[in-house]
Amino acid sequence: MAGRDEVGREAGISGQSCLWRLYNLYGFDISQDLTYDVMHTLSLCVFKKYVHMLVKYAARNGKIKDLDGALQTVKNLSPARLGARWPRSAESLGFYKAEEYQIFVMWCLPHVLDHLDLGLDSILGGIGAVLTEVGRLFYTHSRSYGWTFQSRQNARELLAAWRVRLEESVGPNSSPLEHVAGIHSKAVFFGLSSVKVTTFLLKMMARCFAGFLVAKSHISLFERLQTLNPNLKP
Amino acid sequence: MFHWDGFSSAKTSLKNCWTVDLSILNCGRENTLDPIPIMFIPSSSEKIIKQADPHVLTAFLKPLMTDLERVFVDGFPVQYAYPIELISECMFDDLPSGLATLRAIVMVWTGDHPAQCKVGAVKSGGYSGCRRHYVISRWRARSGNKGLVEYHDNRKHRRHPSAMRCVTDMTFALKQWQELPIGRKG
Repeated sequence: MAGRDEVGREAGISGQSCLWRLYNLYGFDISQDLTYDVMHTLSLCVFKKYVHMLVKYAARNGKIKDLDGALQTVKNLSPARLGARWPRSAESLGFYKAEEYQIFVMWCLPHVLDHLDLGLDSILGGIGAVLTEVGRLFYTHSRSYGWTFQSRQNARELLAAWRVRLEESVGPNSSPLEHVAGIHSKAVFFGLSSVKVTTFLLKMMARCFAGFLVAKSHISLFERLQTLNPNLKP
Repeated sequence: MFHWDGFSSAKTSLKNCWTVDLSILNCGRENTLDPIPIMFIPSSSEKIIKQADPHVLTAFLKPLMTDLERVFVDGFPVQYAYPIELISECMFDDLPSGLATLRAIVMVWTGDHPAQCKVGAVKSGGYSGCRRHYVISRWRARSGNKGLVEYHDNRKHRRHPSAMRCVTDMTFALKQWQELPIGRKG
């Protein structure tokens, strides 16, 4: 007879969380609604691993001064409104914060790769080009235009390309976060403008509250929501 | 939206702390990501509570969950002084101004990997440790007894994605789990 550990291992459970109370109430889905945030998945996992690889390569080939010079050049040329936390020199790599990894990969990387003579045909250059696009999609494009189904698909493809290239050149990924790094399907709704988020939330609330609304004779609001979205069911 | 993260106030792991932040998603684009700190859990209390309750966080999260349930079921009354037509033109135009009941639901709970595993009581590692897929990883031995679990065959997974975990499997397992005795074998 199987014990608790064996049953839990297959389903991915280690205990009974109190979040299951919310599942019984309105269907809070533990497998989908516990999401990883951008800082831990992208900056502190994907970008960090790449930056450490790049600095190790530069140190091995005696090009640390070139790397530091390229970082300083980009910092000096940057407009003042961008200047939050620019990456320090490669000596203090152990003390980098998440924003420094992000700015390194998004803004400084093309110039750094050019200074280190790494083209797109090299391993580090190819992976770096993919990561620059990932960073721009997540931190610049999505924040000004919101997430669409097309951009979500693009992000998935880019991250899959990064994962395959990294495995075939360096080795398999070791962290579960690297394996999941991607975009959550609900981000399409949360990333849109606030009006659409409100509408989406109202629709979802209406779905949850259908029982309450009918019982408390607030039928007019529900009917109004139904005219907006005919697929809405109590 | 809730966010859970841990930080260490000193070099020893005894002085770690956990915090829970809350941000309201539908209150305008400027205010959406302003976090409101609502809970602070010192990790050193783990030893004291573990004797009474095997799952430490349940003791801390119980009052919060009770509040969240009450906010959903009962709601709380709010006097609307704001002109209602400015909030939304098509939704509220026939609702009278005055007392309104506000309700809230938790949409997303974010955080890093260890935090998610603690809150949701889901697996944090192992051979099929991914919380999204049923993908199986393999063990790579290193010097000594150390080693790493690594995810391989990424090109194959891209072409033929493995099955996603779903909540029905989890609920089914949880029912079995509650009936079984504690430990590896029954």
